Amino acid sequence: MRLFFSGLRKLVRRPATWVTVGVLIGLLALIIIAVGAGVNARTARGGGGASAVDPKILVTFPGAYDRILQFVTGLGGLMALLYGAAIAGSEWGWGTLKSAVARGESRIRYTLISFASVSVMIAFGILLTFGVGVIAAIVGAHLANVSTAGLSDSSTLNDLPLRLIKGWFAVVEEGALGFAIATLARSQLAGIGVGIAFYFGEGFATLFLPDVVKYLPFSVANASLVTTPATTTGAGGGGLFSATGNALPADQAALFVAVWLIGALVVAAFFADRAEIAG
Amino acid sequence: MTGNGGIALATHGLRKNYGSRHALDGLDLSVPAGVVYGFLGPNGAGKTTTMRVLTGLIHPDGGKVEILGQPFKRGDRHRLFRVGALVESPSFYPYLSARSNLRELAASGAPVPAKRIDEVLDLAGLTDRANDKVQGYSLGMKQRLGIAAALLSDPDLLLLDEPANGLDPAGIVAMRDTLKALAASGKTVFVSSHLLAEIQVMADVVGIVASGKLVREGPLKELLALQGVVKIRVQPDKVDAAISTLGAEFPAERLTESDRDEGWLSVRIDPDKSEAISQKLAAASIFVSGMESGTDLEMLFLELTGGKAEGEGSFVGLSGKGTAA
Repeated sequence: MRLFFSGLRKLVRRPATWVTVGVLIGLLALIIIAVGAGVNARTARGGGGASAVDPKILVTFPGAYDRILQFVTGLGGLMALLYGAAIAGSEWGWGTLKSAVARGESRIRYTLISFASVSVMIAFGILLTFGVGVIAAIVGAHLANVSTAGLSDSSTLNDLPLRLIKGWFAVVEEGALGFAIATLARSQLAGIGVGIAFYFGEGFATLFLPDVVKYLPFSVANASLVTTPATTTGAGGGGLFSATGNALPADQAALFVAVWLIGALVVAAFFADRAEIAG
Repeated sequence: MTGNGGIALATHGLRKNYGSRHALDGLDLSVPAGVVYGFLGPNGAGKTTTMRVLTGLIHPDGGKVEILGQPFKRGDRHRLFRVGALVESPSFYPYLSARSNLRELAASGAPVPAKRIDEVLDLAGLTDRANDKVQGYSLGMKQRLGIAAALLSDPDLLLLDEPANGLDPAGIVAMRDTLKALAASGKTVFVSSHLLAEIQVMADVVGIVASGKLVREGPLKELLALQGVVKIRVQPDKVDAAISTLGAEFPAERLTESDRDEGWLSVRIDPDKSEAISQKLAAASIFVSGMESGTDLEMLFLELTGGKAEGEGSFVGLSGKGTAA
């Protein structure tokens, strides 16, 4: 446990942790409040109505819960990928893994426990971002003169914990992917670069190989968050990987999320165990 | 606990290849317990590769390693619980303080009492800056912290790779005293270095490697005694007579002219026996007008590792002790 708590202490004090969650929170709050303010201004001018999606849904509860979670798991997944890559890559780049190994620490244990700490920080980041998002949505609702009566919708609130857990699981899988890539690359920058390339590459490939891509890590993470079969674009992770008709069913997708998560960690642990550590 | 005959660290036929290059080519080391062992070699001789193997960072292609009397193979990481190491450059989290870095490092490997962190910070002279972030440290301070980290577990065997890197003169003296004190207390200190003068004043035993092989190993005093050189100055027209006189006493290979025009001769003997040379020449009515003697690790090193400088020609100005008569 001392290694686990040490990992947490290191992450809490690490600037990258707060930059990552700060960017996510800042973007979410900015978008929601801007939408709230924009809706109000447009209403005052008598405009609006031509848009395909009513921007008010971002600040209208209980639907706003879905939108915020969608943002957190969508962009949050990419941020988790970068974060996981940064943490794993720095252990190689800074030589701190070398120091631990030279003290007789197990490489596999160190790698897996480091990621366990990362996954806890991801949970914290999701909760914090979601909480700030809800507050921003309330502010946005007031700015847009939208009622917040749905804020206490019991059905939505009852489902929320499970959906947050599922969201965390999906985001952790994406973080694990970045973690594994950076471990293989032994570098923060290479891990982040390759991770981003995978992220956008998978999104781009969706256009041409949807039957293959639906099994890939970001697509299954997104599909695992779809709450009802009827919802095809709304309740998933969003972004490049908005669940489409081609997406796997949520339960099956969750299984693939677990496979990718375990696979990424096995690859990272195996590589760390066998690698020759130099520099 | 050490091995048979009090051996703290041993390698037998250690081999490591990088492609077709043999970084270690059957390295045999035998490091006695309770000494400062100087591990010397030119660039690319295999010193760093050896350090990496000894700390489990890389795995050898062949041969055996014994640490504190126990075999050390892949999976024997617990052996390192009694080993402290500084391999290559010191490695830390730049955004954490020295104290926090040591605390987090102590979470890996062997358990460390909390008070030990303050002890090693004090030992490294970092107590005043212990709460500063490492990213603001100078190279020398990082090196001190690296040594503190190596001492964290109060190890029985300390492996240090170029520990004097970046240290100021006071820091080097303090480190040397610390390492000698550790050895005096029964711990074994294995120091890889290219600073021959530093090793000469610090090490009890040295091992010299070249091309991945051990070329000489033994107590430093014994090795240097064999490497002693005495330079004698006589009248230039007496050089031949002096060679003839000393030739009866010393084998030809131990006797060379250094500078005939100036009347310098060199005799490779233990400098403690230089008086005998003077007496021998005086008995033949050849009087010595100048004498220098010295023992030099650098000379031995260059000779064994195929360096360019050769004994007598580079005697003057080298870092060994010298006396003028």
